[in-house]
Amino acid sequence: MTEVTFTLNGKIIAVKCVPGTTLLEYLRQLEMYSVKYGCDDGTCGACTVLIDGKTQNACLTMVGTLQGKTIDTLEGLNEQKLVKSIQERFLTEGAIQCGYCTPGMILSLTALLRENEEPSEVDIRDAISGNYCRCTGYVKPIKAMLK
Amino acid sequence: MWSSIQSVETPSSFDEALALGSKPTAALIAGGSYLVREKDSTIHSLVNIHPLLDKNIKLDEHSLYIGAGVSLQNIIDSDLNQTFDGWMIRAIKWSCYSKNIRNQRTLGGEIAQNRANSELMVFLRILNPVIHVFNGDNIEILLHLWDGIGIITGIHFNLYFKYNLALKRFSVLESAPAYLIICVSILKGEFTISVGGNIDHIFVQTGSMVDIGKGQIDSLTRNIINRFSADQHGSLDYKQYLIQHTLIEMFIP
Amino acid sequence: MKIVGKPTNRVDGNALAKGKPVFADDIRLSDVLHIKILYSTIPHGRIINIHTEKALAIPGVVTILTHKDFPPHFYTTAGQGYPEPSPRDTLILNPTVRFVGDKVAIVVADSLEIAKQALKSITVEYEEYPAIFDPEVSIDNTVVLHPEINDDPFLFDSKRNIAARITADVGDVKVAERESHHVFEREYSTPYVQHAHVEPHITLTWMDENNRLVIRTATQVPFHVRRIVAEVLDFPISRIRVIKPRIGGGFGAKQEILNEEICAAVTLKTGRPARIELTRKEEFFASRSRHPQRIRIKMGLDEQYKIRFIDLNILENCGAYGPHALTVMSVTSQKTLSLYNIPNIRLHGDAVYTNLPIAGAYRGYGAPQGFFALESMMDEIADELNIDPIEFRLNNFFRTGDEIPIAEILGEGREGFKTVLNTTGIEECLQRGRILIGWDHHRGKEQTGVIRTGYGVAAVCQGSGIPGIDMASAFIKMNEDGSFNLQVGATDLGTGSDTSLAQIAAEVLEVPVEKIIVYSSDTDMTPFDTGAYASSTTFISGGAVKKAAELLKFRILEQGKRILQVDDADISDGIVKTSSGESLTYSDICTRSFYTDHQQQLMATASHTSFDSPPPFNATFVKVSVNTDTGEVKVLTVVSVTDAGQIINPSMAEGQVEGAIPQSLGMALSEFMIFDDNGRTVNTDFLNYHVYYPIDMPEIISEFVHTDEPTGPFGAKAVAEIPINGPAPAVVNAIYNACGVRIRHLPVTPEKFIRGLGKL
Repeated sequence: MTEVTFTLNGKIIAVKCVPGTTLLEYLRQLEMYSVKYGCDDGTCGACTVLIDGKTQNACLTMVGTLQGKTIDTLEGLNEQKLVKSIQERFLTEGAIQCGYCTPGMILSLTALLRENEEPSEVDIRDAISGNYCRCTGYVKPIKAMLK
Repeated sequence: MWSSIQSVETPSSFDEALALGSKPTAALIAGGSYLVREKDSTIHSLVNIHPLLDKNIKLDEHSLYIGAGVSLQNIIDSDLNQTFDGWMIRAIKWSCYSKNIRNQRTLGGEIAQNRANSELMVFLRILNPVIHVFNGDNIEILLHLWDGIGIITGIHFNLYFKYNLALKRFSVLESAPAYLIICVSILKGEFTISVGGNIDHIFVQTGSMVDIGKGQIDSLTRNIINRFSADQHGSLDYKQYLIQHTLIEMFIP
Repeated sequence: MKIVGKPTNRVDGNALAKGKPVFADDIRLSDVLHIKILYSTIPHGRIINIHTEKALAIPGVVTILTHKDFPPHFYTTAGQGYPEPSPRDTLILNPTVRFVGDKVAIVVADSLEIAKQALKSITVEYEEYPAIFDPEVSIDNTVVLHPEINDDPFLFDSKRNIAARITADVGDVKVAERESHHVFEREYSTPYVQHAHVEPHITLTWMDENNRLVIRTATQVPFHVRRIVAEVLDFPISRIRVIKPRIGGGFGAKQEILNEEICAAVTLKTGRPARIELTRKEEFFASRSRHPQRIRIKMGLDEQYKIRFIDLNILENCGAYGPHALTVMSVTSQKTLSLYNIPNIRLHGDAVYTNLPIAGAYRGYGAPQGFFALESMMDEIADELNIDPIEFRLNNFFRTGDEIPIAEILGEGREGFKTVLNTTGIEECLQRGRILIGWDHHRGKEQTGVIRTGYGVAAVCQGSGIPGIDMASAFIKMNEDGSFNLQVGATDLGTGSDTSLAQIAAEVLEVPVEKIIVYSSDTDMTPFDTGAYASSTTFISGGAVKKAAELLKFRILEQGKRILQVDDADISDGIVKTSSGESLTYSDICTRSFYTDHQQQLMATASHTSFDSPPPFNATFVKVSVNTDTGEVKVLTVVSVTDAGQIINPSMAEGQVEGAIPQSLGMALSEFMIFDDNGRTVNTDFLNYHVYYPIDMPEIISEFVHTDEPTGPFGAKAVAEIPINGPAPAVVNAIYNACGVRIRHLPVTPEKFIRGLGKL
């Protein structure tokens, strides 16, 4: 059994799970369904979470390596002003189609805006560089952040 | 689920890490972006060395030291934009299009993985920095001489020399893995060429600039193409043509 | 209009933006069984024995199903209306395997890990047969893929490996060829490409408290799923409920009964809930892909450069089974022959079996392949005759009021219907697009140097639903606060149809969109809809919604008049008003109708079908930069101008165009499936399949040209598929314009380029 303690969405939790568990599996077991499965190798970003404020693929992260870390999923950030403003922009611009890649993109953009209040188009494109989307061509998600 | 994993250990010293990692069924894990993607079923225990690794960057006039625990994204976010004329940053972005993965992947881990289609590795092989390794003792050794044993703790670049560098990569898309990477540096009349892509190992060769004009490009090309095979990206004829063309472009401005 | 055509936020947008658990896998089922499929490792052969003893001995393995566990019943996995116009060549599990990736056994276990472990412990003995990988040698090959199937009206000739054949003749091509002043003949081909939607195929099934089978699945066709699962498992339709939650993309891959029947079978056999999800690797070989096609075109022109005849010959590769084989080929022909007014047509198409992964429905559904060939050909002809490529096209289009002969001959698996063109904006699309990309200003300028710029164009069309086949229905009921529940069978797979249908209802009923509560795609709760394919949702499902809303509005008015005891009244903005100033709000009327006055539930249903399928049109312009030394191609700009009739939701319509462009560019430049000598798919991950990431995107400029289509709701046509047809031929035309290299067989690779330049 792997036992670690980390902060998830602001709450400290004691985790006990099979050692081979990835963070993606663990979070979905906890019903953090915004973190999604899309690929086997970190090439889609549908499982993007924030670890100590930085975006990372939960599918490539072993739970046993997360002792003391701070993890955020969209479930824990939905009430934050910055996140709400990104969601508002996305909705107004029409940047959401199927919505499967959306939580990952929003987390990536949240991390960006926390570091850089006025990102350029290049910065925005780089922030979502690991978030694969097949519906939008990334056009409106990027446009939404430039307004 | 990486089902073969039976334990994840977090050692409190490099000595302990080495001891735990010495078993053939153990693997040292830094960022994990390679290991967890691979999920090698012969590995039963992961030894998490990430907390132990140095995560600092020290830059001064003549030297650059990057801790092995520094992530690729950390390097991009630091003040290294002008170092090596920006080639380090470019090489990192080409080797890893995804910011998510760059946040996770450490410089130490990238060097340990040593993949042939990593623009960063091809670039590092040109620079040939000194890597600091713990193998029971703390040693410092040139990258190309390291036998892969031990834990990388840091990488030291000598900035004293002004490198004359160029790196070219060929891929289907900007984000796609490169099937051919060529990096050339010229320093004091000597050239070093480092080649990567869809091959087994990065190939490095040095020589004198005096010989370049005298048909050495042809023999260099022939030497390089031997390591490639035909695949969906092209035939050997095409790859040879591309290598030759790129070398000419890089050597003869 | 107040709502249709106006910016409107998606009705489901909030839930998606907040990451709410609305997708198929976002529920927890207790006691669920996990299913993994054992796939064939050989391309063709007979299963002699499947050794499951070791696997069954693993604790937690509940059962392993093989072909012996199912009575043989042939069906098609194609999500199409009954009778499905596809060969019934599929068994749930077949004792013969026909491609590397064909299903051999179904492993059922208490956990995913145990199921995976069990997979590794199963050994299979095969008797291997020779395999066919080249569609060109499939017909009349000694190797026959489906010898056991006879008398299937939708399998053309199983003994000859021909899954489907289409032929058509209009006018007299022989005579026209003799009379033509210029005759051209070319051959083109398109490869296997993948949908690459982010959410994999996922299905969950369980028996509910009334012992009915519930199927919760990511599908574009819930009603077809219900019917086909009922048929295959011999289980009554009345005891099946199919629920479609939010879907993470489909693009046609989910217009298929892909694993729903397997998951349902496991639940029926064990009584327990079951779950099956394809891994990303499995998506690349065990799902569906676009039909590769080889297309030969012969065309003749008269002296005025009017096209006199076209001879279209198609060879389509279905892979190992034939879902959608006939209909994709029909769409290829029908759409490519519905653009230019060509009086003499000969068409011949064969869809053939090979021992490769199965092809199926994919956005565009044959039209992308057809237009790649046709629009490349048009460009080649213009170039050879030294005439302006846009003028050449403008000179040949069908015009408003023209009848399109091929539409009557070629339906989708049946005869078609007379089609008269009511609206065409193609000319305006071209004229607008050429300005946006700077066509006249830049193209044709003298270039020197290694890097060359090129401009290419393609003109394309599609359809709006399948005439005479697609049917949709809607049910609307009123609530006391003047809001309405809109229940539709129509399937939103990310396209936003819940929103556009709400807009249509809101426009008719004269209420804000927020007053329309949409519930869709639940076979118990929503009336029938064929599903989300063939660009039918706005046009057909929208038609049903409009009818239902109009009927309800009429009933509201009548009820209002009854309550007010007047003969004359009008509705405006959600209020029934008389000329003398009396009024009742919707809320008043409904409350009183529920509780006190002339009591009834105000509601209406309507169904809609159409014998029209008015084509949307699109002109796509591409600007490329080409390195004539290395063969590298960079797409700089894509301009896409579309005539989709009245746009219901502007940003959603733009989104369709913007998303389609990288899919089409991918088919041309980067996405191709690679098979080894054994027919095994090699590049089974996103990175090596080369999908478009943010860093790969060119500049995209998308605009719409307005037309008012009389047969569509509020003048709408369709927009979901049309934008995927143009970029591939336009980019190939742009490459030619840049440096004179013509690539006819996709994908474009630098080597083909360099060879074309004569440098190798």
